[in-house]
Parts: sequence; C-alpha cells; structure tokens
Amino acid sequence: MNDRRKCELIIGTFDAERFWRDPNLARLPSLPDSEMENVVMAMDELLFPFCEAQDMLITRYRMNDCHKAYLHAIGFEFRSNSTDLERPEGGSASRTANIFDLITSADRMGDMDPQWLDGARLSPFAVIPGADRAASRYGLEQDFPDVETVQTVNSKLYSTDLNRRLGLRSDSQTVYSHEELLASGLTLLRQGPFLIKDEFGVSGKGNLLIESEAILRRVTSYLGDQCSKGRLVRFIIEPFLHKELDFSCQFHIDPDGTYRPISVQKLANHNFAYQGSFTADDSLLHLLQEAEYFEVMKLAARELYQAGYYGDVCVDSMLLTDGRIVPIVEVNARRSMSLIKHHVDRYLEKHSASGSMTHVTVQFACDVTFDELLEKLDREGVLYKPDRGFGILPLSANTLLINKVVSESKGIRHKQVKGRLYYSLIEGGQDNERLSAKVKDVLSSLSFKIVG
Amino acid sequence: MEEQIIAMICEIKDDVQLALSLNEHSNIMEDGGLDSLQLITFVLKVEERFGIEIDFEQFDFDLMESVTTFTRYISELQKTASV
Repeated sequence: MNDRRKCELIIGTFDAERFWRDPNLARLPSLPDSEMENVVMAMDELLFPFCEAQDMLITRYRMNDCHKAYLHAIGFEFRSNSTDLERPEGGSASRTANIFDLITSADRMGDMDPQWLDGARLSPFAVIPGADRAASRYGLEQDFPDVETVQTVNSKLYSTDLNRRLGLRSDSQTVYSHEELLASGLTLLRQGPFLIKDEFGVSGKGNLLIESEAILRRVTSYLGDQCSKGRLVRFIIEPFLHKELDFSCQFHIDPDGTYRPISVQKLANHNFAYQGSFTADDSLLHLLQEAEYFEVMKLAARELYQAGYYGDVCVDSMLLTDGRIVPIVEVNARRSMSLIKHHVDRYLEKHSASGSMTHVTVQFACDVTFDELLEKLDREGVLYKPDRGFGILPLSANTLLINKVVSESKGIRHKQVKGRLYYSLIEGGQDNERLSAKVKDVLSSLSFKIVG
Repeated sequence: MEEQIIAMICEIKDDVQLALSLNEHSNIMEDGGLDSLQLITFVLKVEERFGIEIDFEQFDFDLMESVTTFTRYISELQKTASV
C-alpha cells in the first residue's frame, strides 16, 4: 500500500493558457490552423519522461503501440491508457473540453484499472480548471495550488509587475483600450518595431510584431470592433528587442517555499515559436553567475511563493545583442518543454549520453506507419538505442500522425496533412548536424515533406 | 502581383532562396511553409501593400492553394474596395 501511494498519475494539456485566459478579452488577429491545433491536442504523449516505474500516463489519444514498445525497450518504465479518451475526429466542439473535463465527465480514465488509482497522486503538467475536480472524483492525492493563483501568476501582467517589484529594467506597459494601444503604439513606432502581447499568449500565438503605422491602425480597428461588442482590451506592449539568445531557467518551489534550481536550457526559437531546447554551456552559465541571474530567480521564486504558488516553474529569459540580460521575459508557472528535455537528459545520463530536444514539421499524404519510420531509422543506424549510444529518440508519434487519423476517419484518403515529430538528438561521437540531416533524409525517403 | 506575393513570402520566411522554388502554382501554406504566426503577419502585410481588408474570421484557407488563386482573391477585394 505504501508503494502504491508513491505512484503518480501524469496528465496534462499543452494549451493550458487557453483555459486560463478570460474569454471576454479581445483577441489579436489570427487565422486558426486546425491541423496544428490537433497536433497540440496530441502532445500530452510527450509527458512520458516524467514517469517513473509504476507511474501512469493518461493521454487524450492512446499512445502509438510501436512507439510505446520502443520506449519500453530502451528503458522508460510507465504505463498508459490503451483506449482514446475521445475520438480524434471529435472536431472543434471537443476543443472546449480539457483533459480533466474529459476524465471527469466520462467517469473513467480510458481502460485503466480504477483499483490502481487508490492513493495515487495527481501530477498535472499545468494546474488548469478541472484538475481539482478530477482529483476529488477519483480520490487522487492533490498537492498543488488553487487554479486562481496559478492563473494569476501565469498572466503576462504578473510577469510585467514582477519585473517592477524586483526593480528590474522593464520597457513593457499595459494598455487597456484600443485607443490607448494606438497612441502608445505610435509613440513606440517612432523608435522602431514593437510587440503586442496577449496576456496568455503562447509560443507562436498571441504575439504580434508591429512594424508600420498602417498595420497598427488595422489591428487597433480590429480590436475596436471587438470592443464595441463588449470585449475588454488588455495587452502588453514593449519595444522589439534584438536578442542574441533565448534561454530558460527551470526551478521548483516546494510546498514549504524551498527553492530548488533544476536547469538552464538554451532555446531555439523562430519568430517567437519554440524550435528546440539545448543544454546551457559553461560560458552561458558563467555569464549568468556573473550577472547574478540566479539571485533574481531566487527572488522570483520567493515572490511566486508569497503569491500562493508552489510547484514547477520555467522562466523565459533573453540575452540581448548589446550583452544585456533580461532575466524575466515571462513566468510559466507550470511544467515546460525544457523540463521535459531535462527529464530526458536524466534518462540519457544513466546511459552516459546527452542530447538536445527539437522537432520537425512535415506534410504528407502517404500511408506510412510509425513502425515503418522506426524500422527505417534503425536500418539507417540512427534510431537511438543505449548500446548504439547516439541517434534520435522519437518523443512523440501521435503528433506526427494525428491529422492522418482525423482525415481518414472522415473518409478522406491521401489528403495532404500536417504533422510534427518531436525528438531528442543524441550526438554520441556523431556530428549533430549530420545526424539531423540524416533524420530529415529518412523522413523524406518515406514521402514526408519537411516544412519547418 | 504574383511576384510581389512570392517576395512577401520569402521576406516573412527570411529565406531568399525560397523564391527559386516558388511560382504561380505554389501552395502558399505548403510550399511557402508558413506557420500560423507567419500567416497572420503575411495577411496583414498583404492588406497594407494592396490596400484591402481581409475578414480573419471568415478566411477560407482554400484561397492559399496557389499564388494565382490568392492574387485573384486580392484583385477581387481591390475591385470591391474601389466601388
């Protein structure tokens, strides 16, 4: 029984910000990409590195059998549901339900044995509405702050305010009307391009770079229309800073307030969209030590704890081209892609290896299976295995194939669809770029077209 | 107009070489490889360049199936705007 109490139920959704955001807030112009939304819905399979032996991972769509068998074979020990929580072709209506809503309303967690849940601890990727309800429904131990606190500290308004309270230089300002956005935006434009940030914008969405007065006027007019329909305008604006490097710091705040630093990861971002995480090198760590960056992180942790938050935190930071460090760009009071990468690193360390995490976006119409992809990678000698010591470790399968499943379930075959493969790149003695190119060659040979 | 559209895609992708592989038949999303953020930036720049307004909520992604289809759509919007 004691052993059973140590088990964790790992579960989450990667678009947590959507559930924290006030639906009454006006939105920046955007063109929804339903295929990428499907990919995001399938990303919960990336949570397996958080599992230890006997832990259970619950995913919206059951994990791919071949992928799971591969992960088990290389030493990841976890169990996961083998039925879908909802049909992948659920469509846009299903997007209003988060994973906690799904398991609460369905009154079951896929095909998992309810006995197992007895005494297990709920370990969410992010605390979003419904997490506490799901824990109560299944009698799971819950040790996380209330959702209102989590919502507050994840808002970009909190990050802006935190900079001020810590006495850090911040050029951000909050605007509360489209008129104010236009007036302040015109002032900023005199100095150069600036950013409009949504309070709960995420990587690649909810940020808009304004480079001209015409586009600023178009955006403010679009927001003005929403305002006349009763929506509230609240955005953060700041000058566009020329950066040398994006990086992030992961730390944990224990329930008693103890600060535990975890890792620093360099991030590859393109146009604000996450591309990958790489372990920080000694020169960056030295620079951060010199700049007393970690002291700022400690102070940020103290402020977060005083606001009622404890748990995992990922703070996004920047090194600018002029050498200035911006320690707090954004606080993510949740787990993160970089923390997943850190957990993969912990696994790799056991095999005396190290890696980076990245992804490739593809388009395809072919009928390729994940098994075929793994086989081909293996045949070409680039599928990671502990005894091989290098290669790629595929971290996801559903994100690659989900839109094919959706399309076929609608009776449409051979439609060109988008997919994304997340993977760890484990160098060993191999050249990173050659390995990366090899992965892309394998995907191309299976008729995947690389688009990003 | 088609050359202008291709040049704008290359500018947003920050890839001058891309122009070599794009033509009037190219699919703007697939061959241009625009993600959602790049797409909205592209559409806002198209609005600015051609003096039109695109309805974001009702936008039909089929219009991106080729550079030609998209330029025809822009021409139609220009005609409507000038009436």
